[in-house]
Amino acid sequence: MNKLEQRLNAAAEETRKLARRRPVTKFDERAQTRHRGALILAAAFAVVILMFGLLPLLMSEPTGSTGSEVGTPSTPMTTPTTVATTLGTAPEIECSAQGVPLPEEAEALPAAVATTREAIITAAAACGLTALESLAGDMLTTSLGGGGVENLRSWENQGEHPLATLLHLFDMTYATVELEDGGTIYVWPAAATYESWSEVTEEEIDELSRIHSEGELDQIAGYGSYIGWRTGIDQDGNWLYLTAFD
Amino acid sequence: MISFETFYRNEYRAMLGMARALAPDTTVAEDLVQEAFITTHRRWDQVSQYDSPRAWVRRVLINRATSLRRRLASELRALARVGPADATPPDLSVETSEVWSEVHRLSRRQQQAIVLHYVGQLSMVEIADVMGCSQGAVKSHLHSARESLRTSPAAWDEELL
Repeated sequence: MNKLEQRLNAAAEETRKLARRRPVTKFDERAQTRHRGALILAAAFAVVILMFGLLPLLMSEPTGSTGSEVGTPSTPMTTPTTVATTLGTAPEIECSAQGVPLPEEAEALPAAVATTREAIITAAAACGLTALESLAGDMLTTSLGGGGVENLRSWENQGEHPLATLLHLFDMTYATVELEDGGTIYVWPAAATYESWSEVTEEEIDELSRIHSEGELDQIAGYGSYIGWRTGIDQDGNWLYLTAFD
Repeated sequence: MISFETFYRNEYRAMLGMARALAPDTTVAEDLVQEAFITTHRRWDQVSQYDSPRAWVRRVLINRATSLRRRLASELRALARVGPADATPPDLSVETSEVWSEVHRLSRRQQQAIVLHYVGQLSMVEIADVMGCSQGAVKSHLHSARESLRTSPAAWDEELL
């Protein structure tokens, strides 16, 4: 066995021993702490929603309308997605996208792709994870470990910035990937479609530095091709993935 | 069908070992393991029906671990600008810590393959299942990882002597 194997095996053995010495943390306690936190947040969120919903009614002047008209929407009913993705809607949560400039319109995108891109941008800018969930459907992959938008929610809570990253990504140059079955995927950033990191231009590296630290970019360069944050929409407007380092 | 509680007890320490190799310290490793099991618990009805719930929970763990470290690295850089943090007593030897530091410089997939192979002691088939790739890809990741570690200037100098 060579020196490298010996050192790896020794490190692995020591690490396993450390793990064996540690007590098995009680699952319920910690999980329930988190659930309690989530419940409190959910309750607070419900109160805010109720307040926003009831305030206009409480503040409005009586109009003399009949009881049956109270609560009738003043605007036509829209789908939940449309409501949640309307700019100006109060954010669902505080999120990393707040304050990030909105991407400019991308050129030469097919209508279906452009529509999905705009909807994702609008939802992300409003911290609208529910709206993103509606847009993603069952198609979106955010991790090989499984999961779609729920990962984005979790990562936002953990201090990563997936929603801000989304806005930055859609502000970058895109490229297309042609599939064997004739389909096309529109990929942001274009660098994610290059065979080699050497093809990434200085301008693109500048763009990528908005979402990756210098150290991460060095690591990516060392890998040989861009494997950082990237997102893709197919030609039919299906949002397929938002992932990094998978 | 195995209960979640039994699954958790059976798998916890093996998961912690792999998490520790990927995380900067044991506290973070324990958090990662908890996060992976919380995700699993929420989907237990579904996950317990899989051929290998073990592979599923390991996949969640390794993906979270390698994602999390990116964020921690940023935080550590920010802390370094503010000033030195209180040092916590090391729980691994210097040599082992150096090994994992070198491994952390590898690509994400190479790190995962190394940890699943050496710490997790999984077979090629199992690693491929966890990583969601072919056995050939696993072998390729391991080969590239070993090559990178051999040529790394920091930890493997003796290898070159």
